[in-house]
Amino acid sequence: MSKRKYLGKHEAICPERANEDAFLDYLRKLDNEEWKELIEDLISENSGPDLIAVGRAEGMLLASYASTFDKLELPYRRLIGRVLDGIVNQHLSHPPSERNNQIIERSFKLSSLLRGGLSNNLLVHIIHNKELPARLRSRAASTLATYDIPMPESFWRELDVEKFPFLAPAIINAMGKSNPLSALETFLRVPAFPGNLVPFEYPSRLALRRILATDVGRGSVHSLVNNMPEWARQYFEKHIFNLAEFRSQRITVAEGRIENPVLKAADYNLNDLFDGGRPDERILTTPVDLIWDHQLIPFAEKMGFLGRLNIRLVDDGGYGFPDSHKKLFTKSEASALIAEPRKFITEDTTYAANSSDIAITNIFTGFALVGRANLGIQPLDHRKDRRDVFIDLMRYIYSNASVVSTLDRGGEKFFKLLQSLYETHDVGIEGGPAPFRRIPSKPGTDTLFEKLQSGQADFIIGAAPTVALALQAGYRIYVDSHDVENVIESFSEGVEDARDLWREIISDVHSPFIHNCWNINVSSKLWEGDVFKPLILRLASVAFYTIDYLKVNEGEVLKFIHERWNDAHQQSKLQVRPDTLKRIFNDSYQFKTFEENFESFFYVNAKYNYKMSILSGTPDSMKPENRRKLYNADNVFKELSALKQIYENSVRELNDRMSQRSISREATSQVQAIESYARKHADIRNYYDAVNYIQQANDLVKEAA
Amino acid sequence: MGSYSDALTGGKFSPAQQDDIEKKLREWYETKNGIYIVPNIQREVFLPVARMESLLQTILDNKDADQSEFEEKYQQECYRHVIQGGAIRLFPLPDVLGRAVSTFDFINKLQDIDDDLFSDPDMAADFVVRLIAGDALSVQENDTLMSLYSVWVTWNEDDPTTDPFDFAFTNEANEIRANLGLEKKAGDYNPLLLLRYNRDISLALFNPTIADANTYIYFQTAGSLSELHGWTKPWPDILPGFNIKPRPEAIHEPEKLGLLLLPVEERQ
Repeated sequence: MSKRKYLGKHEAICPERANEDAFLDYLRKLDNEEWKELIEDLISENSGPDLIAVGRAEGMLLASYASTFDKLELPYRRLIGRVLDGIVNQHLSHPPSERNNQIIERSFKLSSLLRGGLSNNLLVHIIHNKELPARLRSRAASTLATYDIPMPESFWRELDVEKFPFLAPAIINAMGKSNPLSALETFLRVPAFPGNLVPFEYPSRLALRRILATDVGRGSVHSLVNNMPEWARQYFEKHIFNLAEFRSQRITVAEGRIENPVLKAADYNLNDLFDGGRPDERILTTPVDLIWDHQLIPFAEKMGFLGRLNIRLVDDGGYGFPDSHKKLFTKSEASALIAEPRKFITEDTTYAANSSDIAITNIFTGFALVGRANLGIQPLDHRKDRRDVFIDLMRYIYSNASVVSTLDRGGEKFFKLLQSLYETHDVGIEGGPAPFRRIPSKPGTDTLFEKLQSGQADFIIGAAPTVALALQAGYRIYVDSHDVENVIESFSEGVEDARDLWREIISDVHSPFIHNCWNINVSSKLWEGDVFKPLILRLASVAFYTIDYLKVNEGEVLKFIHERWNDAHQQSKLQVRPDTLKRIFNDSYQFKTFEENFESFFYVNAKYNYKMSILSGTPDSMKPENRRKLYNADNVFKELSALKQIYENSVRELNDRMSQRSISREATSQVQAIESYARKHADIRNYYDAVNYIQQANDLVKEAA
Repeated sequence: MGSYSDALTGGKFSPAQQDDIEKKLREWYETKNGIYIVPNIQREVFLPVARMESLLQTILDNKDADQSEFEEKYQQECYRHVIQGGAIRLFPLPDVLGRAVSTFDFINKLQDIDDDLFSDPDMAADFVVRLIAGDALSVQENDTLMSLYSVWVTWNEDDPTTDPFDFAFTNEANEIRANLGLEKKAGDYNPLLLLRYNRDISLALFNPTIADANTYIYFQTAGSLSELHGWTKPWPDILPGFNIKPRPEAIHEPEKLGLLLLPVEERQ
């Protein structure tokens, strides 16, 4: 590239880096051609050391130059505008390309920074030109909206936002400065969901702020938003009104604001749910269990979700899994409630036979292979198509005879799965890992993490808390259960039915996925009788409602788990940061709602088929008829689903009867009161009591008719 | 042995080429920037040898170009080798990271990062005002990156769980600038934003290398593989009342604004 003339002039006038005044003087001496070269270099990002040496060069080049140009007199700024017009026109006349568009967009940016620059006429031409890409047109509109001398409102109003909704944010921004209420009326003209809502945030925020600064503004917002299309109403309700600066003002769209039914149901108490016929109080013992996905039980207790069904929970004062769990199962029937990875208990048949599953709350997918960060190998990072990375990782472990340690059988199974995937798919295996080591756990410490820190283990396979501690200390997750899923998918390419391969993995003893269940010390054979059924169905409803609550208010659940974990580990190095806990919690557990249960666990082709998984954990010596006794969550779920169906049919029946028959006002209010108990039980997934109440209401209508 | 000597004498370059590279480096050393850049190249230890070879090849290929073009080619080559210094070896990694950036730059960078969200410079400025006021961020803001490219960070050397800027004796922005070796200039500075944020647990911190520093002069290589991380290169000036010494330093890939500890502090 031949030397630019503006550079030569700069060297002649300001041989050293100039102060701003000297630099402004230099700019005033540039002729048209030199201005063109300078701005071309600036816009085309050919901004090497020369431009930096010429300009003030503090940080952002374009912004720095704009800030200096801004101090020039009007004729020079007009000249800059003409040069920019020339550059943009020239690039618009070229065949469209990414590079052309980038240069045009940089011209827009410089014009925005100057709050002038490109001529209004050219920008208007681009905005109206239907042949140009939507992005260029919306950027042109955004640029024009920033200009110090505004376009008349009529220009903005006449733009066809119904056809071109991508222009709406710029319109709101432009009009919002002088007439914010009219600006927000732009939403009325965009009937269909426009796709990307991000550009609407600031224009809406700034316009709303201006409106609310006046006394009359508030009422106008109510009526305006109420008239908006549904997508915009929801956007304001969920997003704009929830911005921190407006949240305290408690703006709602309308009186009929939709409340979240799950959160509303969290406040129900025993009196809200039962009239006179409360169930007898049941006291259940539970171990003090700090495993993160097990803590939904104490959380439910703390929130009153158990207490409102007259179930009281007491802890047995002992820590330790699984020993304290086993002890509880030797106590009298229906006296203990625990959260249990079901697969773990199937091998101990005595223990297993004394208990049954109430509900599956989640799948545990939290095993992870963790090691030092700077090993020169890559982690899989949940990205797909990383079979090469996986092979490299396993080759590293094999060729270095790496020591891999874990605490329990689950971790060992996870590693065996990695080995079997690797050994089936790598043709050049050399060496092998050092003999696998299981490390005994010690209460109050994380022995596994300590082994990693001390260098006695090259890798560990840990579950959630250990992985969290390791990540906090700068170690790295190389592969976790999600990655395994991706690797299996990748290896099953070309396999006729990949689903079969997946099923094989799940039903394999090496499966890294574990169903976490709520469990009671009632054997599954007693489920068939009616003695324990009401209690078990109510407990299942608490499990499902607690998951509903977790889905809408995860923060509160995590806060509880975090406080409990850190309180129990105050004197140790096992404290976990809230953000770490959140990340690992979300990575390690997949919670499934009541509606998701069938497809996830019970359907014959369910991805995480419960029955297959449980059976894979049973010893081969066990008779098939005894194996069936080990799992019962499917029966409880089936019963609860049937009750839900009955409840919903009964509600329809009740509504029909109420609309067809004339009954007294007194009877009507009695029916409504009973129906309200039923509805509240349904809100908390307790379809057992919901059905009892709705049937009472139906009986009452029949009698009253 | 460092990356430089391994790359120079490792077999890629003939003895004549080695002489040419060293001659060019000696010439470069005599220039305004080269006096800082050349010693760093020769003392670099964290940059992998193959990448150092590429840089030296660029120096060799452009040895006859004029100085401005030569530095531009060197800059372009450096961009190809950023974040290659390997993970820092500090355990545990710091919980709280700190980065100082001029308010002016930050506002303008935000527009480059997400011009959907910040389509008008006023919007980015409004955002920064709210950061300083401690206003909670929106979902979209939380999800927006703090930078487009890798960033340089420091932390509290004595207690990596606390304020990275705790070292300062005064509330003056220049004390921070001097410690971190931010660009020094005559005349007024823009205000400085002190961005403090919790390190996301999955965020790796890397040793800065000459490729990350590019032609920036307030940088010094660690000089020894035994260093656990990089160190800042403070301004050489004696500034009474300021507590100036090298501070721990690393770089990391872009992170999200949602990690920022609010309110963000602005110093003049």
